[in-house]
Amino acid sequence: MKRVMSIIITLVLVILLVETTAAAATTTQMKEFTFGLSLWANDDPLSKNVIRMYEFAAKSLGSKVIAAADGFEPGKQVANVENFISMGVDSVAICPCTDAVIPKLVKICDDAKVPLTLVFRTINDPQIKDYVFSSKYFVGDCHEDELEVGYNLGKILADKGCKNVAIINYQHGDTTAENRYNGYIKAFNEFNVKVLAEQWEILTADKAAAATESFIAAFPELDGIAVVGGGGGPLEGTVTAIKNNNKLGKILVTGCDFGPTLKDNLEKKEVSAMSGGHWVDPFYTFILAYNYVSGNSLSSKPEEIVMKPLFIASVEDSDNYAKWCQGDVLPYTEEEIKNMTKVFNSGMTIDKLKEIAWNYSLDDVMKRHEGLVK
Amino acid sequence: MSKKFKNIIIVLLIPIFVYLIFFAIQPERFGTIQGIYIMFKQSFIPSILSWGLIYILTLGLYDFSIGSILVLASIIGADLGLKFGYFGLIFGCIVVAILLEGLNGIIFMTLKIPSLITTIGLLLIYETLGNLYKGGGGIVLSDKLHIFGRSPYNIILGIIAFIISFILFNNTRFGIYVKSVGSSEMISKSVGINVTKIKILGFLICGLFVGIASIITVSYGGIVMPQTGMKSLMRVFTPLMGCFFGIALKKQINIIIGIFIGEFTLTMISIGLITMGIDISFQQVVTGLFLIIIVSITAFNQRNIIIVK
Repeated sequence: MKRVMSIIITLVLVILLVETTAAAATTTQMKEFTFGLSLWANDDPLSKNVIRMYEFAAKSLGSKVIAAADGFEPGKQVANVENFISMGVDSVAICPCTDAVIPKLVKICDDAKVPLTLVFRTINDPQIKDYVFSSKYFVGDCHEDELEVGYNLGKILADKGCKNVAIINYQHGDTTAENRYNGYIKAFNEFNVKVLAEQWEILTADKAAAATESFIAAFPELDGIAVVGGGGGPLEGTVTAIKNNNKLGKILVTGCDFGPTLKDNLEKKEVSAMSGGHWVDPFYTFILAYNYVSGNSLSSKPEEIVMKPLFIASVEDSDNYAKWCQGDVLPYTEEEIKNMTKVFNSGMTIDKLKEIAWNYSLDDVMKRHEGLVK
Repeated sequence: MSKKFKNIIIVLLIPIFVYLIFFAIQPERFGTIQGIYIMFKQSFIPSILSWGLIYILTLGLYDFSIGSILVLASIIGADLGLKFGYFGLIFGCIVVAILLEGLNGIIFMTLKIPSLITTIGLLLIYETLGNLYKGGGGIVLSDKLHIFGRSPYNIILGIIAFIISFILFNNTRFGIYVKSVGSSEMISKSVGINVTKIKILGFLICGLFVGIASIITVSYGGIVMPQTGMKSLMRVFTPLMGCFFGIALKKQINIIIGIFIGEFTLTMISIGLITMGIDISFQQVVTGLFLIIIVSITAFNQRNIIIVK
């Protein structure tokens, strides 16, 4: 009896020892890092999706995120980065409001020896770009080809017969707003579409509605409106004003940044086409940053990652987007996220990450997660 | 010509003058019948807010939270509207706005901190509440509930708001007490006016108008998103300018009417600049300059009257 008991106790101790060692090994592999993330806001559909994806990715890798809103104000952006550093974050990610603020942010991070990534933005100014890319602690950025986004949407309006359009945009100086705008203008020039008017600094639905009504009053020949961005509210306001003034079908609309009424807008043919769903952009720079801080940098120099936003022009696309990208299973699972880090996958490279980002699309998510989403 | 009639003409000359300037620059685009109608419609939302804010200003107070209250009331009203139809929308917007303004009044009177500081502090709280409500994504108002975003229903609601404000401000004891307290609290107290009660009522009445403005705002845009980082403060300035316009011209015309004429003129300037293709930043410069000019001219005239007397 005593012998049996001692064997059982020994077995239990061995099992416990093995489990503890395994846990210790896992803990060693997944050290907890803290990532600071500064975005324009945390209360619109786009920023909420970004934070959700970012936090999920961090959690998958045993890490934490501190997110803060900066209202796209340079002073607030600098303050957020300084605050993150004083809180001891391991890396900072930010969506800069303008190229001009980036050198200051880079300097702060360089002085503190904290890696920095930019999300949703590329740097247009060549001098600033040279300075930033020569920084030891600048890891990289991710952005969409916003020129192409604007161009494609502008072309859609032209293809649908629009000849006289207006543009509703958000902030002057914002790289994304400017690049999308330039893309639209390129398409309009190429396809002989006249831009009758433009209104910037439009960020809310009621302001967009007022601007749209003003366009309708001033330009009876108006047949298209390009809503360049602003997080969903401006598009809804524009569409509501068009309906209230009985111009549905007579004034076509394209939009960027999916809002909460995406499916409705397409179902009722209130919007001709939309691009958006690119809230995974910061995720790719997170992967860059995580590999960097875990001592497994994917590259010896700063890297630019380019991705394509989703284009949605049908109700079916919209349903698939909601089901495959916004449901309980995010566009990348925990396993997929771990495989993008050298900690869990020694074969991971920067080229593979860039390929993953470039291939991101609705079809890509549906193919990868077949069987995971019901 | 009677003095009253002369004063009305003087006041009306302001929007007519602005109209003529823009019409001269863009005759083919500005000032069409449809255009004037749209300007008239668009003047109502800021006017309704001004008609409520004027009670606060007349009392010698400030309320910078009306923008955040409008947003929060619109969000909750829209949510109730989706559940209970128009009753939910109207009830939600008005009751929430009145309750929050009532809270402003009670906190202000209890803590005795300047209203400017109190309302800015509360603005931050209301913005956060809007962001927390139902996860913060804002509420999309169903198409079937957009009636107050369309004419003539938004105009009807605007006219109702005008009548209520006009009668309350000019033809009730409450209106007299508001002016009395604003003029001199000490004298008002000495004649038996309950100053605390009047101030709190002033906030509540402002809440009624903020509630009405919320109904039209959410119906007009179709969605109201929460605003944080004091962005809702921007919503206060246009109604504030309308109030200043009304106050500047109160010797010539009733303040409530003057407010609407001011907002209509400001809307006309905004649309006039749009037809000229001028960016919104420059629009704000022109609007600000216009206000300074009007208030300066009026203040100058009043000084001259005093000197002559």
